[in-house]
Amino acid sequence: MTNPINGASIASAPSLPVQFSATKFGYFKLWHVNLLLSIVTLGIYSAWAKVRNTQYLYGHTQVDGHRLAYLATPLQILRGRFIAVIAFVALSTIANFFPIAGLILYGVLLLALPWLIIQGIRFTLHMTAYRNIRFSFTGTYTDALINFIVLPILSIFTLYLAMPWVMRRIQLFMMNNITFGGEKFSLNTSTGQYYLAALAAFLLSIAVIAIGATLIFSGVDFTAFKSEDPKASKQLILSIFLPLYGLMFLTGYLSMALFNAMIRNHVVNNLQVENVARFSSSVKVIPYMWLTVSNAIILIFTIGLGHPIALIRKLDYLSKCTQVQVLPKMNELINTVGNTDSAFGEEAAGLFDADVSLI
Amino acid sequence: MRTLTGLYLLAGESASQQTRLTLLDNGDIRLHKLLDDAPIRSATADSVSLGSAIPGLPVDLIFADKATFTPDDVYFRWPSLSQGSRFIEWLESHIVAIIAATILVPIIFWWIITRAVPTTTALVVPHLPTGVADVLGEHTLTLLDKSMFDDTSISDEQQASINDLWFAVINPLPLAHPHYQLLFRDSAIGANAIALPDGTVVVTDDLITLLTDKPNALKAVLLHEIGHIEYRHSLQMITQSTITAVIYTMLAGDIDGAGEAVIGAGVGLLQNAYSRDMEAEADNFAFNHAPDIGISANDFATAMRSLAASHGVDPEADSDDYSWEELLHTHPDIKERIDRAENAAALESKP
Repeated sequence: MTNPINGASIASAPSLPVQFSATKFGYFKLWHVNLLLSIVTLGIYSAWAKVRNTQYLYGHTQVDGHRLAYLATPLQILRGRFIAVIAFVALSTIANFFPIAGLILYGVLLLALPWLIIQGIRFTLHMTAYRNIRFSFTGTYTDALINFIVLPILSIFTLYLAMPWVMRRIQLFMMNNITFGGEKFSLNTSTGQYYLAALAAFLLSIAVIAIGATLIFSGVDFTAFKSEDPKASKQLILSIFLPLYGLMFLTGYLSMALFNAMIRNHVVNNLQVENVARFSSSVKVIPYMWLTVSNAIILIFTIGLGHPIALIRKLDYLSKCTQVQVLPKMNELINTVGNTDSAFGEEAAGLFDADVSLI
Repeated sequence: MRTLTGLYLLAGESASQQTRLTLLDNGDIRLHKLLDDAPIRSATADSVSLGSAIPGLPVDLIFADKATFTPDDVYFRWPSLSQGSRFIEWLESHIVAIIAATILVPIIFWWIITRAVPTTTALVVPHLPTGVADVLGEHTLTLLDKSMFDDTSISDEQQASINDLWFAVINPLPLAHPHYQLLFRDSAIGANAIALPDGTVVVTDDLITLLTDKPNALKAVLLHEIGHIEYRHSLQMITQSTITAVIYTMLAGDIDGAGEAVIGAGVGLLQNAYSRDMEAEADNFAFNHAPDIGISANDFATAMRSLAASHGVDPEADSDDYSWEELLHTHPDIKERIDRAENAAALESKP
């Protein structure tokens, strides 16, 4: 893996931490005030809110003394959001009022989805800069169609056994098409690692269900089933099904956390921009599972209003687990991206739930 | 005059240098290398612009050629920073604004859900053309016929007699919707009736069988379904869910993962609440018009008891202990519906 020419300098370049200086309370304040302003302006300010929230999160992320920057302007977001909302209302009106035409429309939308996904990723990357250099994305429609639509649908016929392989392909598609100052990101993952993570997540969910179900049923007094009192049997059903429902969510969160932690480490550790940067990740499985579950608890008990706190907790942990090796060419990059993008694709992707997160 | 240290980057180039910036009293700028004090550039006050002022972050100075100077001091704010920017940043970090936001946001959300969305819907729905309701009804029936419905096995004679009963319901009523029809279908959903927005009421074979001996109860059920059509409830539901989806995305679009699941569940509960309100409205329609067609709200209570029994629900069960369960239902509690029907019936006798 070592580059023979720059081997020496790569070995000597220090691994730098990702410094994340955002605070839970700081972001909580910003997010809530922006939400209030968005509401009282009937959603208009939401474009400013999005820009300021993102600028806060990016700006508080530093590597090697330089901050990430979010360069989208509120008017750019507002314009894209406006058109996207009109398109969304028009489409859902047609789909709702003319259900049969709606079915055809959903087919068309499925074909438009890869385009929306690409536009969304491209806009976000173009608006993200580090050291005055914007990121870019070179993924094509055909590749997005194959990776995001065709392969996931085909994997159903393998009873999802092919899904880890599909997920690897999706991540390769997203990462290998990112460029930074004209330099390509390159990701080199192994299919085996994805199957390992999927197997680990599967075994974990079996274990959690087995332990959880044993605990739930051992605490149940089954004689109540024979009771004539309808209230008692209803109480019994509640005392079984509510915990089972909770167990289902817990299992989902825990196994997803395990899978995500393993895959994130694998992806980040095998990601590099040749001669520019290398990355490493050391997410620990147990703390990450706890983070995921505790964040879900925060969100449930604050009916979603604790979102900024949960987000900062997550970003803070992930930053602490991430290191960057800055290589010599980092100082010689020239920006290749303009500022003329439309936010429509990105905003529409959000409305139609086609937005994907990169890492 | 004051001096600042910071990072200087040329437009679109990753190379950076440590610099010292001198801000003159008239706003003009001199930039020097930090290392050897060699001059880099100078600029007049009106040729530079400023980046966003975000709490805890430095404000970039942007030269005319898009080169940037980022102060090392994250708290430094340029004297030329606009009042608007200062005000927004003040709001975003001031405790009073935060308290106001955390209190007001839930209250306003509540107001939007309980007042603004229904009011907007009520304004929009009457203006939707009848043709829209007709196509929606037609399409929905086609889809239901392909999925949930089978051909009826009710005999032609019984269909004829129930059609007579149907006309006895709709003829005396002053109905706003221009055309009504009754259709028979068999379905695995059991005893039920469904109102489609084009004025079609579908009754299942199980419902006909269940209420064979109780024609007045069947009339009460039909009245309830006619209520749905008269109030254009299907159109209301669709309009409401579209408005809710847009509001949700505009205000909470940046929430994903677990947060999205929590809010999605909230939106689902909200739809159920709207649905329960509509059922109650259709019930009231049935109570109010029962005397017009020679039946009583008590017949609605009878129908509810039969339906509850056929779906294995105990209509007399006291559900007070489980009132939170109601959140998960699209229909109001059956005991409550029966009680309300009987209360309405009690008022009928008094002229």
